[in-house]
Amino acid sequence: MLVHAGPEYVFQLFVGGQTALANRAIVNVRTAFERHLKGRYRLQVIDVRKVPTVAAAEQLIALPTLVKKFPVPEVRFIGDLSDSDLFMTRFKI
Amino acid sequence: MAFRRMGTRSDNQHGEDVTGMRQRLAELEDTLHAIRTGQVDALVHGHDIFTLESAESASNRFRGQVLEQISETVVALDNEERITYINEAAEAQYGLAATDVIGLPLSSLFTLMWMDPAEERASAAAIDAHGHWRGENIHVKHSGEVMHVETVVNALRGPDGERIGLLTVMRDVTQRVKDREALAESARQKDHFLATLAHELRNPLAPIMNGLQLFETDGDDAELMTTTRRMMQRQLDHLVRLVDDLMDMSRISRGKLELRTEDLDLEKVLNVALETSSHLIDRSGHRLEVQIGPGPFPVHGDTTRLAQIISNLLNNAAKYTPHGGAITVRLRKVEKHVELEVLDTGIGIAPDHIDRIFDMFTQVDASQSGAGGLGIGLNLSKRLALMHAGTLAAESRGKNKGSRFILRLPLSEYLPQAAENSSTGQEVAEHLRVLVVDDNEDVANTTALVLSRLKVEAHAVYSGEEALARGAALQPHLVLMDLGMPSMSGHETCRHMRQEKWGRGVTIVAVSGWGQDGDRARSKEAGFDEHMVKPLELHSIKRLLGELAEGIPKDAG
Repeated sequence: MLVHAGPEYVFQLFVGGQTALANRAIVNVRTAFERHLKGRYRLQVIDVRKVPTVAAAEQLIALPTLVKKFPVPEVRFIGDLSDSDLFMTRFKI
Repeated sequence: MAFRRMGTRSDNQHGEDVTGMRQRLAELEDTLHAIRTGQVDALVHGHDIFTLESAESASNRFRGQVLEQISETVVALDNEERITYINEAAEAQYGLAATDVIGLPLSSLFTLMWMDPAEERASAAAIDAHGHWRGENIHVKHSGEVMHVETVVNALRGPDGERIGLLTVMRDVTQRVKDREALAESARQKDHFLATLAHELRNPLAPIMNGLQLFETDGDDAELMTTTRRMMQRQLDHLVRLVDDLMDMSRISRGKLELRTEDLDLEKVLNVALETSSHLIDRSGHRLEVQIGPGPFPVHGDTTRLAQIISNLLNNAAKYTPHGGAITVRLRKVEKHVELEVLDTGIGIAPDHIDRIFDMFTQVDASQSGAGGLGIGLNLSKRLALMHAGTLAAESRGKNKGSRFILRLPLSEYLPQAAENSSTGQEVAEHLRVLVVDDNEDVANTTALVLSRLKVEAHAVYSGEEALARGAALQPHLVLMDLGMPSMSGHETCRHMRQEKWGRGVTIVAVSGWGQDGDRARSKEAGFDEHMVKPLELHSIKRLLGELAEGIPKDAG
């Protein structure tokens, strides 16, 4: 069996600037992951307004969007992420 | 874990497509749900981002812009002390992006330290009670940098007035705190200096008072009177040196000290300094060795100031070396410099002290050295050396290992003009008549007394008017005149004298507490031949008399 040296889960959270909603989403995601996946995940927060090319490349529709990049398959979840049970289920965690 | 492709593409194409489509559908449903419930604030189409306007978003954007513009750092926390917002100033201050710290505890930005632990409780209580606290904290950044921060904390309220977090606005006041500390330190140094000054000025006065007492009670005891007089002379010399140093410091600080430079030979200056300091070296029982390399040592400088530097180094060597030590003075040429070294076997300088030895008011612990002094001598010497485009450096192998001071001055191309027939000042003309003018009768009388001991006919008067009357009768060769007299000033008296027949050729010397170039120029303008600074020293008087005696035929007068 191949052993992966990095974290077990890799997520990217795309936000559209420092809006109240975006910040709420970041807080919600970090809180949920710290509770359930502490030490096992990596979260990268990307401000789409600062990196404009990323929106098209990632085929984003709405912001904020949380993407589970790893393990595959890639799964997306859109919204303020206030319902952690919902997105954790969607991510099959 | 690793990504492993399961089977071949053709085998699974169909299954994957179905799974993918189902997933996309679920995502689309989520998106619509999120938009409907106000959980989305922007839509993306290609490269374009469309912000969704809501009732709140305009005012939120306005608030956000305000917070981004201000130079204070703004950090919002929720009730669990997690960061919910930081502005651009805070991102810059702590070198972290907002997206990387939001949702993390405050400690991910900096380590908070309280000036006083009691204040931590007080701040929490104040926020609970009034929703507001203001004070000063210390932040230690991840880089290790320490910042003093003025912090204002306000409680954030939800729609029903419940507390949903805290908003902290912080201003970096590190520079202000540093300035405040520097100011306190300089005030402390000044206080210390004034205390030392009072002490140092009073020190020589006590033995002088005692000496005077002895003159009254034991005036007949010749031997006692001799030792007492010598003691008083030493204390007085010390007092004069202190005051001179102080005045020089003040002149340099105000940029008023001017050098009276000439081409000179540093060996001659060294000899003057050795003469001045020899009594202190002898008295301390030190062995003095003077090593002089092949000369001459031409330097362009101010004899008095250079002698002052060298004397200061010699006096320090004598002071900071326990009784019976050895002092070595070495004069030589090194490349384009004249180098003068003063070495001693004294208490030395601790390595952590050597960089500060030239600072103002720095001194080895006086109780330890027993040396006393104001701690301005070396600072003054270094400044004077710099004014001569030279350097003054200190070296020591450590405590009790002796010290080495090195004065380096640029070698000049010109040798001093050999002064012909330079007066030794020793031969004193007995036939000279001198008029001493000073409104301070004690000064006038004692000066006249000193002169009469030199076998000169000396007369004391106490005003300009008296001087004019007496001068006409006496026809003096020399007039020593105070400048600051109440009714008729020295300048005015001199002008009048120059108009008298007897006063045209007489040598008139101004004696003043002020020795600036401007003062000298005013004296010259009033008709004085020379300007001397108080107190008059015996060797200056002797030189004057010597010059006069040479210039005047023996049979004259």
